Amino acid sequence: MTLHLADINVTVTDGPDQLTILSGLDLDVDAGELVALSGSSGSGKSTLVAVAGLLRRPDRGQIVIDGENLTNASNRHRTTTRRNKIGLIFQNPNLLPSLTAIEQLELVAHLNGKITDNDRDQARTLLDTVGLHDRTHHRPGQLSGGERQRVAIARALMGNPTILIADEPTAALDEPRGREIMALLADLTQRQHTATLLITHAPHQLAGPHRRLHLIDGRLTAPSPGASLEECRHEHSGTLVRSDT
Amino acid sequence: MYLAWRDLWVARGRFALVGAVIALVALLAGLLSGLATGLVDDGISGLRRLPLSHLAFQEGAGADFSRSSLNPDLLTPWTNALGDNATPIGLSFFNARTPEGLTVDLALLGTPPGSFLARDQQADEALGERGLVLSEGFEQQGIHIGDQLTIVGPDVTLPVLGFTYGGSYGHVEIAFTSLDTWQHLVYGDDHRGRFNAIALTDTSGTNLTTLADETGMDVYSKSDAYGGSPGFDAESATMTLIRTFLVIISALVIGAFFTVWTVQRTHQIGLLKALGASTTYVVRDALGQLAIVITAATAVGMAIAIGVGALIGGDIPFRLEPSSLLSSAALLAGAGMLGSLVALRRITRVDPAIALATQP
Repeated sequence: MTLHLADINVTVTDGPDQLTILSGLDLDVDAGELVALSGSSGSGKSTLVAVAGLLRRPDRGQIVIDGENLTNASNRHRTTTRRNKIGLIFQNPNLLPSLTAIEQLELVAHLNGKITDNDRDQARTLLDTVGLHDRTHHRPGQLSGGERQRVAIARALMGNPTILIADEPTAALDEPRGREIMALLADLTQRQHTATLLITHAPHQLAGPHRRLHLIDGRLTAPSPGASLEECRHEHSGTLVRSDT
Repeated sequence: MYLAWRDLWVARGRFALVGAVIALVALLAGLLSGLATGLVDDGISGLRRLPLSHLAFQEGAGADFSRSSLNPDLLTPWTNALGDNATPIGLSFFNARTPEGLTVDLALLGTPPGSFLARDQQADEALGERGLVLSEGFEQQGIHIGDQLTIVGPDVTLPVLGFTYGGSYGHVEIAFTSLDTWQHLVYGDDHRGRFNAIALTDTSGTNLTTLADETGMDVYSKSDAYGGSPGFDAESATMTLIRTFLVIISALVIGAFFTVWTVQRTHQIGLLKALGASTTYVVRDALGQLAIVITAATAVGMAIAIGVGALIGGDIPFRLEPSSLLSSAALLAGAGMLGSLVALRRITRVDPAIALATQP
């Protein structure tokens, strides 16, 4: 198992109250598998991304990446693992304004010390893969929203990570662009053989037979076949309302 | 430095603006450095040029020539211990007038012919005659060799025998004469061999403190004796205070800029960390960027200071000394880097998880 989360618990303090964000969450994602995870606002999606992406320590639970238990790893080791094994895609492309498209990718290699010819070749290849071979020397301000997100996806794949975590990558895009990005992620998961965790508000944009999960009140649940997110929420609360959408 | 250089280029307008502020501070520091050196020169360059290592004064006179009066009996123990390496000197301020009515101030320094203070043979020979050897500054004031200068007060007229690089003391150009002439000018005919201080050189092997205690005198190293120059300590303290304030202001300006810049970059720093950048990487990048801005701006400011300094002339005591200029620049850059420590602390604390937050 490339990504293994077991019994993950996260609570936060809100004034005098303790709020449970994730409660006993278990999740496994295999190499070459894309798991689409949806949930309403405040269901804990971003917290799950932070935990899986080693950006936040859970209060309890186990995190294993590529067979290595990182639950109690030092911050330095978590940073190294993030750099070498995890590709992160954010809601906003989060590109650095002073770098061109290709430099956004080369930066990832530079974090390891230096940029080799192989790194430059890989950066060009990845930009080609996401359809931006003619935009390599454009800065974020010169790219459209969809193009920026493609650069962000290419950046996440730089250095051949084993895990790809995408946090609502289509949130800022229109429907056709959203579908394009989803299809691209599904395709790259197969081609790059990554274990991809895709957080999305719009699971319908993802075509194909991928494992789909819903996060409700800090717990994961598999939806009934054909059920919408709204139905799933009611399923969890014991009131099932079917919809044909 | 991968990101730092590119940030500098893309945000060059913003960096140019802060660079201009730092350059102006550096310009001010450079000019102050020139003024400080100039003032020091004006105050003690004459004393600094003299080939002596120590000066012995009357007890309690505090290296002030005008407050110290010594007699030949007090000189004997010093010459017994040091031979020709101990010589009496007198130093007093006078006004002098040319026959054309030109009035000049002079710090008249009297020393015996053959004294180790007159290194130059011609100067030494001139000290054997009754007359004055003037600093070059007097020549620029229109005085020539052979001119007759009347010393105001004793109303004694002396010929100008020559010029030398004498420098100045207490902001007044130095004039050399024989100790005997000086004694007649200061004390009249009944001078009884009095003088102000004993100049010492090559004192190795002699315990000066013991000798000073035995003779009831105070001995000062040459640099310690600078304080006896009129106004020297007050001027030095004022310049030091101004330069200190400038360094503090510089630290605050650069620190404030860097802090604001860091606050604006917080999301970007979080993103870098989320992508796997170590804190060391981010700090190195930020520090490198700051060092480039400070170094370039300081160099520009100092270059302008050198240019402006070249235009300053006349009566303004101004002299740019490479070592003083470099130390000012280094101090400024160091203060700037120090001022940015607050921002660096902030960088180390940025949580990479903020990269997940939606940017406004």
